[in-house]
Amino acid sequence: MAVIFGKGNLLGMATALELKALVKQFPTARVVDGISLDIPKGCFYSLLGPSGCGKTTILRMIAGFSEPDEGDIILNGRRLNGLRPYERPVTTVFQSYALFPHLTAYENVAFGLRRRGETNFDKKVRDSLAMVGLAEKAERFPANLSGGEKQRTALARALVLEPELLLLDEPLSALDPALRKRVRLELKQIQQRIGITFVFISHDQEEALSLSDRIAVMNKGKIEQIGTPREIYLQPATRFVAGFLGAVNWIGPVGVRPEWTRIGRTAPGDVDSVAATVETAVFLGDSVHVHAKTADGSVITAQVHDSAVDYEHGEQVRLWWDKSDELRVSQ
Amino acid sequence: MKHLRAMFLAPSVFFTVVLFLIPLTIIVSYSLRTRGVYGGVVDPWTIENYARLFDPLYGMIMVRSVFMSLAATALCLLAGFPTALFIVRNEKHKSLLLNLIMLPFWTSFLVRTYAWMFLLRDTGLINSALIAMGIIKEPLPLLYNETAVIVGLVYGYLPFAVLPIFSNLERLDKALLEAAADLGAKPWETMFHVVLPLCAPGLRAAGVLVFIPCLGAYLTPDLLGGGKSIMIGNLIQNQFTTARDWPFGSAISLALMAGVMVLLIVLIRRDGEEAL
Amino acid sequence: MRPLTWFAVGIYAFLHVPLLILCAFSFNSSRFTIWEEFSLEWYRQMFTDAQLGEAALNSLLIAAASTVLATVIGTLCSYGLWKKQAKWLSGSLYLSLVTPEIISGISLLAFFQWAFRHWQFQLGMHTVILAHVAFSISYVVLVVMARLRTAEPALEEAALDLGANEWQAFWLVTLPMLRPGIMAAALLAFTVSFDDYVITSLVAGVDSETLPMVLYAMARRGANPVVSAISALIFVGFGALILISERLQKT
Repeated sequence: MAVIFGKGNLLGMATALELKALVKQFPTARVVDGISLDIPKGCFYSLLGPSGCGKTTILRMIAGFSEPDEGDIILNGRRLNGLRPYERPVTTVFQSYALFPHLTAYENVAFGLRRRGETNFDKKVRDSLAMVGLAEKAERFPANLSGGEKQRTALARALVLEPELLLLDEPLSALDPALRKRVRLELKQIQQRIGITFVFISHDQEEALSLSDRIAVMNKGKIEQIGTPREIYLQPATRFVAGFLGAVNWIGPVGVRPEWTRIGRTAPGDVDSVAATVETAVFLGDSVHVHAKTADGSVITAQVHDSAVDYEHGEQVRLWWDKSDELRVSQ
Repeated sequence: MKHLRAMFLAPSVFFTVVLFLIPLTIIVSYSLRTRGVYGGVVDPWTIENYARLFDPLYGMIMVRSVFMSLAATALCLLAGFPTALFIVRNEKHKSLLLNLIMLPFWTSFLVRTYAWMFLLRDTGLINSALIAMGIIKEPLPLLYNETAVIVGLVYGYLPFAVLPIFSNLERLDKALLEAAADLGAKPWETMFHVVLPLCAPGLRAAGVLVFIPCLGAYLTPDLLGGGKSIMIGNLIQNQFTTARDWPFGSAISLALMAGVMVLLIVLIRRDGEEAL
Repeated sequence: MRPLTWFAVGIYAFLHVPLLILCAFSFNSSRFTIWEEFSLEWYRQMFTDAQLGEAALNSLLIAAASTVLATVIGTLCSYGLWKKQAKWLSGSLYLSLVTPEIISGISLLAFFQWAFRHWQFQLGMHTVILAHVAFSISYVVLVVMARLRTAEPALEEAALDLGANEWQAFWLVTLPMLRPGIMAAALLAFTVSFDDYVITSLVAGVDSETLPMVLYAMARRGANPVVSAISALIFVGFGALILISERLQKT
């Protein structure tokens, strides 16, 4: 099942972007090492991984800012290799937004339409700004826009060209946390409304899980796993994926997430449990994280959802979990 | 894109090669040739011109140039550090104060040098004023000596000292000063044990940026030193004009150039390329 | 704090008082440094002196021509170097910046003399302009490069991404963004060109005497209040130029 989901299409959805055995060699490292991907039309697709995993390089190769050493980039049946960025039906929302400081929000959005030689673009520009809620601020310069407004201007500027594919390079990372959650929701709604294929780059697992239809988790230039957010969280293929998407207690080859680890002064009689000594209990408001040391010296974290519960240092406890919650990874 | 970049660089490459590198190469080749009877440059090739650099007559001028430049540099640092500190501490008027330091720099160097001739010459303002007040009878010999040249150099290049020290001081984390005070350092102790050591790169850059133009100075010693306190720059000019000894003039030029480059390389090795 | 303030006041006085005194005495009716009464006599002499007028015109022409050339060439060069480093070129430009003027001057003189043997031309306005362009380029590159270094590299990529070709990205995005830096560079190039004596005096011909050359000759000859008047005018002129440019850069 996972294999079919990973490589193939959702039934009935045509492929928008296809990457075939993409390789990019930098002087010191092979940053993209044989990446193959199929991105379905209309999909919100995330490339998730730590910094330096090659995700940004892939994005730059799709946009045309750098060329792959090997492999093909095929968008809706057309090979993009060798085309200049302005010849590709792809637009980008940059991490820094890259709004032109000497142009107003309106002129930033009109920039690409002017390059196409369009003359009657006023309605398009206004509609696009209205879509992101900036109709009132069209005449402002970027210096007079807030972070969130800049981000939305950059989005409007990229979408007004009706690209076949929109690339988003960590577009939320420059926003403060509260704003980030709100903009995240807006971004998802806009994507669902217009149906353009989004390729989203992120190192933030929560962001990727909440936004994406599909996620490709990357590490060291290779893909670790492709799947829906649920699949990669609940059935991580590798130890790396399991760890990157959330905390894991490793008991030998078996992993259990803290939220599925149960803790008690005694265990229910019918389950296998592990004896441990409490090191610390960290109060987190909506829950308590209890760190306990087992006989072999490894520390296991259990998340207790009843925040009234308290454990003291040195207390003897039992830890247990459902067999079905165990993460079985290949390596 | 490659073509566009080549087009963009072509004119500056042309100017740099034709009007900087080739002329320098000519000077290198002249420095290894012989002076003609009527002042031209003729064969044979020789290193005689470099040997003459050690002639006490010329050696003295070079040693004196170095000492005068060192004196001017030291004065610039001594004046520049407190001034930069003053500007940094005046948060409100920072840019005005900085512009005021730079303002004379934007006026003609010749005018600035002339201003000191106007003050220092025998019939200049200082002597006239002192005579008018009856303090002296005969004018003091203020102009045409080494002190006048050093004053002129400090006046000319002080902005070069203030700027790097200022930017270094401004980068300094204010919390460090508070931390020092918090740990019991008195203001002067903070100055000597925290601010000065952290300002060392700025002071080094300032020193080199002042020392180099001082060492190559021509106009200041020419106008304020008269014929008596000439420096390397005047010696070079003299060889190319009055003395008509181009090969020797070229050798002195290259010795000066070598000194400048050694200084820069030492500084860049130490503090990195951003130091300047 | 107090002693530091006094010290700084002293330094500012050291920097400005000599020039202010010079300006003040340019309005003195006496040619000696004893104040007599207010007079515009030296300014009248300055404006009626044909040699001075010609030299000033030469200086303006040379400065204008070399500023335009050096600014264009230097800006293009900075952009090219920003795209991709060329160590030898930036190194040479930097070296030309720290080369003592007298050495630049004599090496250009030697070069022109050498070139005259092969081609028929003489020292004159054109050699002065060429020399000024040569040393101004590195000033322009220094200033424009500083601006480029703080520029966001993604801006041009964004332009390409939105359908602009390389030329349009440069012309419509990078150049407007660089405008304040380019203006500052042009101003600097103009000042160093207008002010230069050492290099100019070595490569100038009979028809290309500049204002600094005349000033120098007058200054050497001894006290002359006309020099004070010219100095005051240059001081005020450049001051105004800088103020105007700062205003322009702010808007």
